[in-house]
Parts: sequence; C-alpha cells; structure tokens
Amino acid sequence: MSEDFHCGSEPESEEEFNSEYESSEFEYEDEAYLDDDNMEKVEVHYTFQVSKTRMGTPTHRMKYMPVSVEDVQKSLDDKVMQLNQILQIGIDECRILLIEYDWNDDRLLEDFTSRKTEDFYKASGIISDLYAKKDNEDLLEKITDESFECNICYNSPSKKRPLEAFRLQNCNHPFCTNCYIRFIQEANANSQLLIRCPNSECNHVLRISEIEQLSEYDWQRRKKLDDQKQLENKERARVPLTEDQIREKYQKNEQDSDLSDFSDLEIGDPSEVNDSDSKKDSNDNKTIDNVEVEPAKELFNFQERMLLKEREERERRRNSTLLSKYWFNATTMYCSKNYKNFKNCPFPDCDSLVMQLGFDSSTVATLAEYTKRLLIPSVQCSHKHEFCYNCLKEDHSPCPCAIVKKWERKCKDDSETAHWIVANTKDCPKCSSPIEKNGGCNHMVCRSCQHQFCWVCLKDWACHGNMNYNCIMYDEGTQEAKVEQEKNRKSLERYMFYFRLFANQRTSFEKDKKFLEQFESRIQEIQRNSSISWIETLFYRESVDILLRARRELMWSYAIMYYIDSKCPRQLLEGVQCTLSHQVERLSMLFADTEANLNLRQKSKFLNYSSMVKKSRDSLKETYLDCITNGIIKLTRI
Amino acid sequence: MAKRDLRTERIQQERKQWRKDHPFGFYARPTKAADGSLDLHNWVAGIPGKSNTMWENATYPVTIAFPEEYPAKPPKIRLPSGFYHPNVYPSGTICLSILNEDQDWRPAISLKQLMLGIQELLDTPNPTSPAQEPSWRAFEKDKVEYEKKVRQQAKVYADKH
Repeated sequence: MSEDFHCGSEPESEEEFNSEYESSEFEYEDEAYLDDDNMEKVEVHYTFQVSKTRMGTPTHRMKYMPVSVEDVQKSLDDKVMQLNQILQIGIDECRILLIEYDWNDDRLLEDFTSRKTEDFYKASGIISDLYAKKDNEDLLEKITDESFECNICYNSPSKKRPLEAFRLQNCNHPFCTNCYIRFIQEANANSQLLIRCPNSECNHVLRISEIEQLSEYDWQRRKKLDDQKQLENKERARVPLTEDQIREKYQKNEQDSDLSDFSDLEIGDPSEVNDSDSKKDSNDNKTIDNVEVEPAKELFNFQERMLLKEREERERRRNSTLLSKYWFNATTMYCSKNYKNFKNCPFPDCDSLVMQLGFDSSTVATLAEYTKRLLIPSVQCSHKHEFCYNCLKEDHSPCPCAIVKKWERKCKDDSETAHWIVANTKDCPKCSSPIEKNGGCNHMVCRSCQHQFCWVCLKDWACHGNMNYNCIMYDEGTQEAKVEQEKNRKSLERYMFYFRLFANQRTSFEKDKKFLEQFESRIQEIQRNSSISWIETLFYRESVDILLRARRELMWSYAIMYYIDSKCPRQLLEGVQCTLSHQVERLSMLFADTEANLNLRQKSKFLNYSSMVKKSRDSLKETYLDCITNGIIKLTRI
Repeated sequence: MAKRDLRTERIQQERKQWRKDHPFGFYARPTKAADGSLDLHNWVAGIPGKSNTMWENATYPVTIAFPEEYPAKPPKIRLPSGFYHPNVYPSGTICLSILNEDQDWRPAISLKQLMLGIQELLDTPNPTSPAQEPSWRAFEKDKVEYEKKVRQQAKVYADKH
C-alpha cells in the first residue's frame, strides 16, 4: 500500500539531466522575460525556495502568482486584444465572441475559419457592419417626437420634456435610458454576460462600449444627485446639531480614521494602490481633522479589520458602475470556469486569488501528479496568507495532503475508540459483544447472551469441566489473535503519543495567537504615545508571523511521524524537530517575558531569535522533503 | 428625487394598451384585493384555445403575478395546477422561453405578446423540454389518448354560451 506514495529512491536519469537546466540563472532570465513582455508587474512565486535541496533532491516547485480580480481583468483584456489582432473585427466584437466561447480562443478560431462568416456573426449576435452607424457616435439622444414611445415604460416625450433614449449601435430599437439602465442592472445582478437588446425580435448583444456609455451616463447622473444632496446637507448643517447627532457623527469618524491612518503604510499589497483611494481619502480628511484620536478601548485584531475594510472598499468599487460590475462578473465567471488555474484564498474576508503557472520540473505537469509525489503546494496570496493550493486549507507543510486528510479523519472519528476496544476487550464467542475483563476469574458469563466461556482460550466453559484447564496448552489460532491484540495496543499508544504532541502544539498555537493579538494593540498604544514610526514596530509583527508559522509546521510534523514505518530511521527527522521546537520555545518565551514598553530595546534579540527559527523551519522542511522523496522513510497506514 | 415605481407605471400602461386593443376571446384584468381596491400586481386572464384544434371552444384561466423587478424580470404566469399539457409543470407554471429571464425574456415584451405566445404553445407543445410526465408520455407515444384527455379538459374550461 505504501508503494504508491513512496517514490523511487534511485533518481531517474532523465530527471537528473533536466534538473541541471533548471539552475537559478535560467529562472531569472525567465522572469525578466515575462517582466518585459506581458504585464507591468509580474511576480512569479514558487512553492519552495530552492529548486534543489542541499542533498540534491529536486523539489519540483509549482509556479504561481498571487493576483487580484483586477489583475485577471487586465489579462483578459490582453486576450481580447490578441484575438483582435488575428480577426481584425473590432475589440468589442472580439470580447463578445470570447465570452460566448468561454474564453476558449482555439475553439473560437476553429469555428471562425470553418463556418461561413455571415452565419458565424449572426449566431453570435454580432451582426456584421452592414447598416452600422459610424463609430463614436453618441448613442444617447434626446427624442422630442411625441409619437415615440418607449416599449418598456410606455412613456412618451412631451414638448416640455424630451425623453432621453438609448439605442444600440447596430440596431434601431431605442428605449428610454432609465429603462435601459435598470435592464442592465438586473442582468448584472443575475451575472448575465450576454445581454441582448430589450426588443424581443432583436438578437443583438450589448457591447462593452455601449454598456460603457450607459454606465458613464448613469454615473454622471448619480454624481449630480450626490452633489445636490451635499449642498442640501450643507444648508442643513447650519442648523445647530443636537447632542446625539454630534456624538454619532464623531464616533463614526473616529473609527474610520483609526484605519485610514495606516492604510498608506500597509505593505505588500499591489491591489491597494489605486486612483479612487485618493477620492475617498479627501472625503474622510475633511471630517477628521479636528477629532482627537482616542486609543481604541476594545481589543481587536488590527490585520483582520484592515482586511475587511479593504475588501469592502474593493467591493464598493466593483459595484459602483454598470461597467465595473459587468466586468467583475465576466472575470469571476472566467476564474470559476478555469478553477484549475485559479483558486480563491480561503481565509475569511480575503478576496485575493492565486493563479497557477505550471511547474518548475520536467516530470511533474499537473497538480494531481504533484500531490501524488507527496509534495505540498503551499502558496501565499497577496495578503500573505499561506494555504495549500490542493486542499484549500491553512498551510500544512511538511505534511503531505494525503496524510493530512487521514490524520484529520482519524482525529475526528472514533476509530481510536475502536482501537481501544480491540486492545482491551474480547468478543463473546457466541454473540460477539465486546467484553472487558476488569477482575475476577477466567470463567466468564456473557451479560447479553448468558454464554459461559473461558477468558483465556475463549472456548465453551463446559469443556473445561471442573479442573482440566487445557487452555494453557499452546495453540496456533489463539496466539495469532494475541499478536493482533498486541499490535493494536501498540498502534494506539503510538497514536496517542503523537496526538498529544500535535494537540499540545495546536493549543500553544491558539494561545500564542490570542496573547499576541492583545499584545499588538498594546504596541499600537505605545506607538501612539511615544511617536515611534510604524515601520519600526514592524519587526514585532514579523516575529509573530514566524513564530505562528513555525508552530504550525511543528504541529504537522508530529502528525506525519505517526505514519512513518517504524522500521525506518527517524533520528534525522526527530533531530530537526527537536531543534525547531527548541527555537520556537525560546522565541515564545521572549514574547512572554518582554514587557510591552521594553519591546523596542529588545529588537535585536527578537530579530536574532526569529531568524534562527526561520532557519530551522527551512531545514525542517527540506529534511522532510529529502527523506520522503528519497525513500529514507516510508509511509504506512495510508 | 421621488422614486417612480416603474413596475406600477408599466402595468398601468399595459392595462391601457390592453383595453385599447386585445385579441379576440382573451381577457385580462387586475384582481381585487380584500378591501375592494384593485391589486395591480396580480392579474387574472383567460386564453382561448385556437379554433380547429383540440383546444377549441374553451378559455383557459391563468394568473399573472408581476414581480417587483418587472419589467426587468418577466411576470410569473400560471395555469391551474394539474393542467394537462406537456410544457406545464404540475404546479401550473408554464415552461416557455419568453417567460424565462435566463432565456428569451426581454423587457419590451408586452402582455399581448405573452398571451398570444401561450395560446400558441397550447397546440404546439415543445416535446424537447417536457415539464410533466403524463401528458408528455401520451403526446409522444399515444396521440389518441392525448387528444382524448385534452378534449376532456377543454370541456372543463368550456365557454358558456
């Protein structure tokens, strides 16, 4: 059974040959090439730091890229452009075709070349430009003709009030703009991507440029309304506010300002930098100038709140106009249809994606192959959340996915209860209900079936008569049963041993997390009081991360130990485990012992310890990988 | 800006149009609420079977409910539950592409078009998307039995002369 997971110990010659090519210089070239050509900012990440361990084991890294929905949108736009370069029929048309073909450009081109052009266009709802109007013509018009009637709301223009109507470029079915906007809103709410003209006989699909015009119109109108409202509010502001109103106003601003102070400083998030931020800021700043910032009374997780706020902001932006919503729908649809290459970050309130880019290996091509080799596709999203690309759970390295699954199931179900029963009880030979002997002689009477038997040999008590105890004589059958029982007992002990280590580490992990969260808010307090810049306390946050990650890795390394064949040498693994565990405890102690206000003075100590932990972590990961792929240890019970 | 209720406005227009001009044999009107006032969002209507078909000489009653999003979303039109027709669900809901927002519903489809569409569907069912078993099976396998059942049903909804 273990054969499947134990990968050949002798290196394949082909593999060795290729891995020479994968030296680091080549990779850098690869990245630089991408940099120039495809996108402005390409950050290719790898699931493992090096392509070869110090022992020379290839790590078959998975290449991936943390992206946001906006990044994916950009790449879709590129795809549209590329198609247009081939077909030369206009960007809008290409986009509709790609949506219709689920972004499968190969199938699209095949159909394009094999079918008659006219039929092809007609089937796609793109009518060729036979009676097209000129480009860039305003599709919005003010209709004053009183005989005109919008076929949705049946309104007609009057002499005083002309009706604003909108029509598609290629058809002649004008409807009033409001109706059109509502129609698209509804289609957006249903994530409809191919929106056709509201007229029932018309097969035209709305193009992006047309949606854009309506979207722009809608946005301008709403902006106007907002401005009007603000003006009204200003008028109203001259009236003195009641006490409650003041309180409400300022308390709300205080919360906002807490976060907006830091929003510029958050690092490592590319999606955050955007134009609309400045718009929002200018709104906020007006009101918070004179408000004194009190330290937040309740304890909160700073990072999680930041994340939530960012997410809300992004969602607001995505829903802000008809066009942005439409594009967002198109992109998420694309991602969910290509779910093999895109995974959503599983952390709560995180909406980043991870895009798989292939493998840094000549022998591994798919994720299934990758996990079959017991490699772990642990990835990091753009918010630095670590998770497993395969099982979409929190990162569980160095424990392979298959074992995680086994282990979790084992911990959850009562298979261990069954083990205990097997190890400590015997079944009644007649009705097979389990019986535990907790004292007394060997003459057993089953409670449920009243059968009398001997505890030692499990035979009918009658054959023992009064004195002839023949069960002391050796018999093959019973001996085997005993061996089985012994084995079960050992397995249970082994499980309990590792489970205790695992559970212990898990509780430490949770406790540390809680403790450090509280600590963090105190750090913020100090920072406010002593005007230390945010960047100077960054080391603290980083050390926390390292500590928690190390604890998690340690935890999973115990789980894997249970599955290692007892005949294999474990000293090496236990050695690295021991080192890491020692380092982790030392760092944890430093956290616990250091007073909050002394933290900064201890900075070098923190940095020192955490870098030690980091080193041990890497070597732990590497050792496990070496041992598993080179067959030094074999995994059983899988 | 006082938000105009597009749904009500559109329904009123539909009502006006219907009064002005509606196909022969059809009727459609808003129901009355318990207090005697008109309930514009729920209508009752009758669709006559086409003459010279097995559906003739009967008017089939339907209920029409206009959802809040109407006309962006189609109205819900139902025949009596248990209606015998291959494209009518046991609940009475009609399976017709122009009544489905994911398919062919467009905001510009008028009540008249819907009514005529349903009348058309009565005699030309679409066996490729069956919604109930008995009538679909009969339609596919046993036309005599199908016609018998349809005529029986027509008697139930027969026009009173």
